[in-house]
Amino acid sequence: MDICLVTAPTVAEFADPEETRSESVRQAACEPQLGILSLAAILEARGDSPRIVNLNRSYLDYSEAAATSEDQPFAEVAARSIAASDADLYGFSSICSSYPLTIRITRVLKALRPKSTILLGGPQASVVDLQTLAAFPFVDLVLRGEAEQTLPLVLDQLAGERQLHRVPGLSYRVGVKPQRNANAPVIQDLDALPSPAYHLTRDLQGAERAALELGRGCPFACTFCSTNDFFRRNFRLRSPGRVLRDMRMIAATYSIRDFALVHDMFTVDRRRVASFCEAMIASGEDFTWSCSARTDRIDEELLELMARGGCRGIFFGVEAGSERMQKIIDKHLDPKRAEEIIDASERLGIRSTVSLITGFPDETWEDLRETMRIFVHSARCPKSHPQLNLMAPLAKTPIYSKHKNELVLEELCSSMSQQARRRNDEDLQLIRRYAEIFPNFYTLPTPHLARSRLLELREFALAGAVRFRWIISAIDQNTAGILDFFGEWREHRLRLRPGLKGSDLRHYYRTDDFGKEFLGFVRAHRAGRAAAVEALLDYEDALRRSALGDTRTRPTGKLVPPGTALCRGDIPVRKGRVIVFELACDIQRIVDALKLGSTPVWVRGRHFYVTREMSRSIDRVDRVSHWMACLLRLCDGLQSIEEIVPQLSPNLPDVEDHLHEYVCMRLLEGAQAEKFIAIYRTARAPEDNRDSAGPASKFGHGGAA
Amino acid sequence: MAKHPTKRSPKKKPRQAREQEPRALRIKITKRTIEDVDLAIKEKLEAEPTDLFRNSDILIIVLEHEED
Repeated sequence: MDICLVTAPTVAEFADPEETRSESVRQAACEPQLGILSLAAILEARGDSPRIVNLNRSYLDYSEAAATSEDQPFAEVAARSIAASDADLYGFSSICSSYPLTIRITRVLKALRPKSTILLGGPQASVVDLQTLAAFPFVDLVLRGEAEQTLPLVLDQLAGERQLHRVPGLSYRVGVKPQRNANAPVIQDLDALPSPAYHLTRDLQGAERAALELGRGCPFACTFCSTNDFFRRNFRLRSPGRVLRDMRMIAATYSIRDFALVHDMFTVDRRRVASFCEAMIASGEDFTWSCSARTDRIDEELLELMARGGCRGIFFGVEAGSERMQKIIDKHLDPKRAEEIIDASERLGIRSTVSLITGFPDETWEDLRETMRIFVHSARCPKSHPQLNLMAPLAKTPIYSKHKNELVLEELCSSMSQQARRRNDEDLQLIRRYAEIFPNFYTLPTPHLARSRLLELREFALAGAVRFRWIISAIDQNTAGILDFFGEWREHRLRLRPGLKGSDLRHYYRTDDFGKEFLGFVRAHRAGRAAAVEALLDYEDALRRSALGDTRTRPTGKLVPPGTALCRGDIPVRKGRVIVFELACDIQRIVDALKLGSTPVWVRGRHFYVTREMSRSIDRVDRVSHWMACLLRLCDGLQSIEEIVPQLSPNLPDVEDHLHEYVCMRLLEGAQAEKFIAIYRTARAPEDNRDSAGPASKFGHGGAA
Repeated sequence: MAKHPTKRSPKKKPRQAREQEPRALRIKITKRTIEDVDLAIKEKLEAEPTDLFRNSDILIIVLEHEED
């Protein structure tokens, strides 16, 4: 039987070109989907040759193609591409955020391949199986829960007697009536499963990190979480030896040594976490990894062991900042303890992602204030990333069951379901018509909190923490708190741009206009007079001014590799995102004080900084010396080293005159090594004009660094 | 009635006050020579990372594990 497995799209909602070009979207699109890869490995092991279609890659290709137009919707393009495999069975994975698109693709696919079987699986289809079969006749089967053992049974029945009632976990139709078989047992021995079939996709080609399954099942029962239904609260962990075997295989094949270890809740059993870390240490490998944990199932000692075992990142689902809400959502974390664990992770150099949720029906302004307190606590830790998500009522969760008759459909919904600016019209029609299948696109009533305010708070908090992390922290420290400050900002924003709402409001928080208007508001607000806030505003202004005034020209000629002796005729130029700026105080001292919640120690004077590219979307700020800053400012791509030296000289008053060129050359070599500048050599620069003929050679340093 | 400060004639500081000034302020700056310029360059080359970042991405989406 020919089988085609199709991943759940995770980035197809990003329709605007600026969104699809975003590094965040690119990163998300390249994440391997372990469910499909695991099933593919099972099928290969039994002699099948499954084909995998990665809908994220299809979508990025579609977005980039010049042929993209409104009369060729992605669902049709994707369906035609999938249909090209002419398979007997098409198996789709599904997640809540892209379930409408999955449904639309299957509709077109079934029309193209009417004799084929369309099977859905994955977290979303598993919990809305009967509703899906009742609403969409082009979906033939839904295979619920973990499918490594049951998918082969489905294939055997389809190829043989077609006794579908014999396949546990399968939902299907008898006549037109949807029918559900009993659940299949969960897979207890995860070690027995083959390694994911990474080789069937390009996901790990050139990647820096690989997703790898660590285990399944979370024994806790938070009211908003759907995972306890899919893995049925049955905690299982792969053995350290088995995980290490996969890590070594991936390292050998793809040269990847960093792993996103996937498990809903790794740290349930302290002893097993410890033995995993000890095995990692004993292995002698330098693998690094990240995982998920609860803050009450971890302590400083275990964190220290995890750090030694290679842990570099932990996802903490804290969700609510008040003890009252912790009880209501059945999470039962101690918020103070959560803050201590975030701090401990920071001390140990472990990145933390701190997930918080707002929009619970019982939530009050005071509860939200506590949630925002944890948000800012996380923002004050440089290695921590706070997230504020809007509550999404996921199908079959306790909170959905309780409020399913009160769902509200608005233009913006939870970021869990829709992070893009716009929603597809056809998706919207499906969502409106089948609320029971797509409830995650709705919101829950929040009688104590205005929804429009919550929707904007999410956009503000996320954009604020990423762009103005330290200003947000400084404002929080110098006012009644960031939540109240947000209230004042929002009033200002409403006066400034009264018509903004829905997707336009979301877009606004992603534009430079938000940055400018927010900083202007803070400057005029009494909070802007607090010393730390003012210093950080000055930092933003200096950076913005320098970026605007930054002119440079890429010289012609050949690039001079680092380590090459420089010539006086060579032309240095600052690299793409290198911006030099000056401040009147040591901004790091301000940041250090904010981290501790203390008063900053002022170190007044001239302080120089340079931005440096860390990734496609992030620049880090480095402090540099006065000499280096002066030199970098002169590296505009228009002037040769010979022309730069006399301009640098006035900034070297304490260096003997005949050494100025020598200092300039050494600084250029250093700047090149630090990747602040590139150096070009034109055909005009003769070889005998090199530095070695100058003071450097005189003092025995030659031309090379 | 006190005189306006700007109309005061500048007075020479008493000797005792001059002697209490930090002596370093009156020491002539010695120019760096090759013997110590290399050490100075080494210091000047060092870039010190801060905790400040600049985000140039228009879109911020929530990923489970974000990179620094």
